[in-house]
Amino acid sequence: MLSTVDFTALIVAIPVLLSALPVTLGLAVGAAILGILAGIALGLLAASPHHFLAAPARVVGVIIRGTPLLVQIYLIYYGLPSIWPAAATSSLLASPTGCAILALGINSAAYTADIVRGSLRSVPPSLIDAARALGLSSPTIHVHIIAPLALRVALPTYGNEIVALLKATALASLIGVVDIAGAARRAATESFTPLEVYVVAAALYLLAAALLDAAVAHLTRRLSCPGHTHH
Amino acid sequence: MTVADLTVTLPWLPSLLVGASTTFLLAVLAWIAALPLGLIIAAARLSGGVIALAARSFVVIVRALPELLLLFLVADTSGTLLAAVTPTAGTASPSLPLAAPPFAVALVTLTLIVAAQAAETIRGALLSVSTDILDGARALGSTETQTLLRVRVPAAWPIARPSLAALAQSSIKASGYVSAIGVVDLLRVAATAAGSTSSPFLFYGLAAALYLALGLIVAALFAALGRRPHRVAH
Repeated sequence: MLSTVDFTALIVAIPVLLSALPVTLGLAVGAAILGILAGIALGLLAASPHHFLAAPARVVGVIIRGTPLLVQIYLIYYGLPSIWPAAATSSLLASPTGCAILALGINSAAYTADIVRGSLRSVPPSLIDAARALGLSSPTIHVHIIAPLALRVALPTYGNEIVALLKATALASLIGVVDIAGAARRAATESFTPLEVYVVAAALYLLAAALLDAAVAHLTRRLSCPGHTHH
Repeated sequence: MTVADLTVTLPWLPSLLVGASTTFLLAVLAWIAALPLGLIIAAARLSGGVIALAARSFVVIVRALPELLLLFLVADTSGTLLAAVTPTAGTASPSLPLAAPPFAVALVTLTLIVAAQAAETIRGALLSVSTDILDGARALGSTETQTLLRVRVPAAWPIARPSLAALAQSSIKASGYVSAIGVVDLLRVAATAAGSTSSPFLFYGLAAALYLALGLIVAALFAALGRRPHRVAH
């Protein structure tokens, strides 16, 4: 017979998994910061008119986006110390959490770079020509004309990326990080009530995704120009 | 790659290729199973009422949850489910819980994930079909099912095809985590090789290259599939 949901087991699982929520959020936020910084750099390179800058940046992006994230995590966690012994002694790269953030950040950077490149292309060239005609310098044009416009196009798409990143953090549990997925697997095998444990874990992921989504939507609204809508 | 790298890699090459074929089989079977399932979910979403709400909840939940969590959920609850549908096996050895084979667990999980994504693509394509054509089909006496399968789906296919082909490629890439429950796929073989030689970077790098190649092969395969020019008149 099919067992129904055991509510006691459900209640018991909540504090166990809730204690792992900061780990999941820490992975997501750490990787997002790394991913935004590296992604903007990679995106600017990929959008460069100079072919010798753009081509390598695009190839790196295709390779990172075309291979499984878990392979990238293993490559950094197990592989890096074997070819670069200094990695084993550094406090960041010797810990599973540090490696997971690095791998997730690099992975996210490749997707963020694509968003950056697309949003840069959405800025009308006529605006840039007009700014040049007014005698504005190239850095001024980038900071005051291109960046504010591109940011508003990039932000809604980035909302999808950060939710994807949150989901991806679960893979860190496979190198020993006790995040929500890791804590859930452990609790599920120890308690013999896997369904209840995973229901709670799923609810926490849905909640975290909804919070991130709401934060990005809030930012999008705050930054939107009155009377000006994109597409 | 140096000569030393080659001598380390060569003995593992057959196992790596077997692992790669498991990954390929898993992703392609999941993709094939996900198409009719995705169509059913998409049709349910367009039907309205409680069925539409259930279909929408399924898509939203599956797409919002980490793939690994879904895999764990299916892996750890499938024993209970199996015992429920085969009562004799459960009573024969009550101390030993039934466990579904890892490949089956991985296939079910991957199918659900791909189907949820395919359903969104298919729904978008179905919605883009002109309602005039559908009204025309109904006026000619077609039932709703006939209108869907003989008019709406064929008209929607060219629109959905590129995204569905891309989905096949991404399911190759996404399948890496199934090694966590013991499926001997490409990543699992690479991990074994990495553990028993002293060249983990080499083998994970090789696995990455093979995944990239598999993804490109699948993309090329499905890009060619079902390209029937001028078959559907708009």
